[in-house]
Amino acid sequence: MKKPLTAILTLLVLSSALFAAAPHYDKGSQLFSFKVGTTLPTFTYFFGSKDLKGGLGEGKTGMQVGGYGGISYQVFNTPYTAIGGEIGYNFNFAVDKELFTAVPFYAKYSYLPLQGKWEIPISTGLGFAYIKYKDAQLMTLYTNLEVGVTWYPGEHWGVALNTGLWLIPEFNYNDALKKDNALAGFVPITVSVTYRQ
Amino acid sequence: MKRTLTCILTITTLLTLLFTSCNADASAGLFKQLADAKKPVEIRYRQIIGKDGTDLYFLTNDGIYNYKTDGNTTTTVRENKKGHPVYEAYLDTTNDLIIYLINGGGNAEIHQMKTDGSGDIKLTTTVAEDLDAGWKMKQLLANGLFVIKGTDTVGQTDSFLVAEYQNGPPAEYDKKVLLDDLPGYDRDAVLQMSGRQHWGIGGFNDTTFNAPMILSFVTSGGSYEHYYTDGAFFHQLTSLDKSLAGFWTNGTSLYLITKDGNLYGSVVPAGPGSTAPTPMKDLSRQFPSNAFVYGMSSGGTTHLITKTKTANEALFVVSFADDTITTPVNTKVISTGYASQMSNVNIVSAFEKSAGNLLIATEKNGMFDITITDAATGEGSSAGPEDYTL
Repeated sequence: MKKPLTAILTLLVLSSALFAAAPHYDKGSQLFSFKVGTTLPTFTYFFGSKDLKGGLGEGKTGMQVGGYGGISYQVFNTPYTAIGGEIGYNFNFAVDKELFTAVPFYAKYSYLPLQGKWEIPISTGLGFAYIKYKDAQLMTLYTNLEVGVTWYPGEHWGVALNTGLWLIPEFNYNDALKKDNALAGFVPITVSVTYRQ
Repeated sequence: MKRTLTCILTITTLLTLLFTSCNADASAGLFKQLADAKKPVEIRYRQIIGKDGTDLYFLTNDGIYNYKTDGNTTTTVRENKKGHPVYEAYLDTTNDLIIYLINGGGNAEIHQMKTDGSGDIKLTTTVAEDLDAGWKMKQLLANGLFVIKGTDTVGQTDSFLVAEYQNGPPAEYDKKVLLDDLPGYDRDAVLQMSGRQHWGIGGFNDTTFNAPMILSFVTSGGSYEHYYTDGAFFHQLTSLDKSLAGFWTNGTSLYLITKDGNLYGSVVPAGPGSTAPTPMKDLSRQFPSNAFVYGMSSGGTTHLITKTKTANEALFVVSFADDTITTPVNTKVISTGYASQMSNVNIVSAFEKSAGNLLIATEKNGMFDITITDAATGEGSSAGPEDYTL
């Protein structure tokens, strides 16, 4: 597990060093993205019982592979970094055929070490998500880390493949529900279309 | 810029607090409910109708079925027809008949057929003893009795007849008991003992298999009246202006649980009259209509095994000294042993094979076969779904 991670980080650092000298963007450049794809419920950790449920299906996270769609806007504050936000809609059917939904909306910070025809955006997000399943619903925190590869066949339009990790905590104020406080993780796999200017 | 940021942060924080508090209505944590979710079984049970020898009859959303345990085969007895599903059914083991109630264009229709599904006829009599013509069939119970609403022969409206069907001649609904003159009241619930709905009407007797019922009525304004009956008399349970979820009796004491989670106790009524049950404890739980309430006694303690509305609590056991209606009353969530598969299920019907051995039919998760060895600790077993014996 450690080796591939080290290799990816090394590659990113090297690519950053290689291409840092020729930025494509200026301060004020903008990115508009439309994203669709799937989400894989990866784990749920219950703080009270210290119980870690990993994977899809019954007796695990209880969820199946789902779908996600979102839009984002970012503006470059330096030639290599951009700030902005994203809002999306995610759904996963539970094993009991009921629907789990999440509407994340969050501030997004991206670093693009490789720019031009091929780009590697590395993003982190922090914000909120409205989540709902059966009789439970709450607004909660949301954070993510995503990495992608974007190909620009022309000057403005590009397509990307992205993945990463979402973290959605559940903190209940109700005493009876505090024992169920948890942290859920999802792995998104998405394709996006980006317009840059 | 700073002011705008502060505004955005304040609004989002308030929204967070608002929606987080919404989860207070949830029965369990959101991700906990997800992790405990169960795959639905394709069978949507409505009622375990009864047992005839090695055959089990049950009602689902698709119709009436017969499961033959000796051949391990399930056959359709009566398939539901569009717009006319079977709501309730009764198995007459003496005459090998199934009586069932369907919606016949806005009115309840009663049908009768043989247990193999042949000879289906509609019962057409318009005679209900002690009621004027124009009465309305309200319910067919699993013990073969009917609840009929109408005006009695001296003109008292909103009268309720508990009757049994007599083939005749003349064919009619014969009175067991009549509760007349409840102006403004309509039926809220007819409660029977969990697992023993198919027992005959009578004072509780686990040798002759008789059990009493409670009929609850409510006005449009939300006032409740409750009547205990053993088929010979009605006895009003007073000072209980709440909706009842279930009850249990051992023939000496009567225990009632309201939907808002209050436990009441009383001696079993011996004749007509009225009694005000004694409040025993606020159980701090919500109960569904016709909740599962199954009692067992051991070592001088009575345990009421219940299913609350808290989805991810398997079973909720309420314990107190035998035949007392005073504190202390203890409660405990049981999620192992006999209760191990009861979380996140909705119990729709139960059938007692023998004391402590039950078939539990659920709305979406199939049928379970549970054996309760020790109600207080959870000791026992649970098989299924769809892996049961008779």
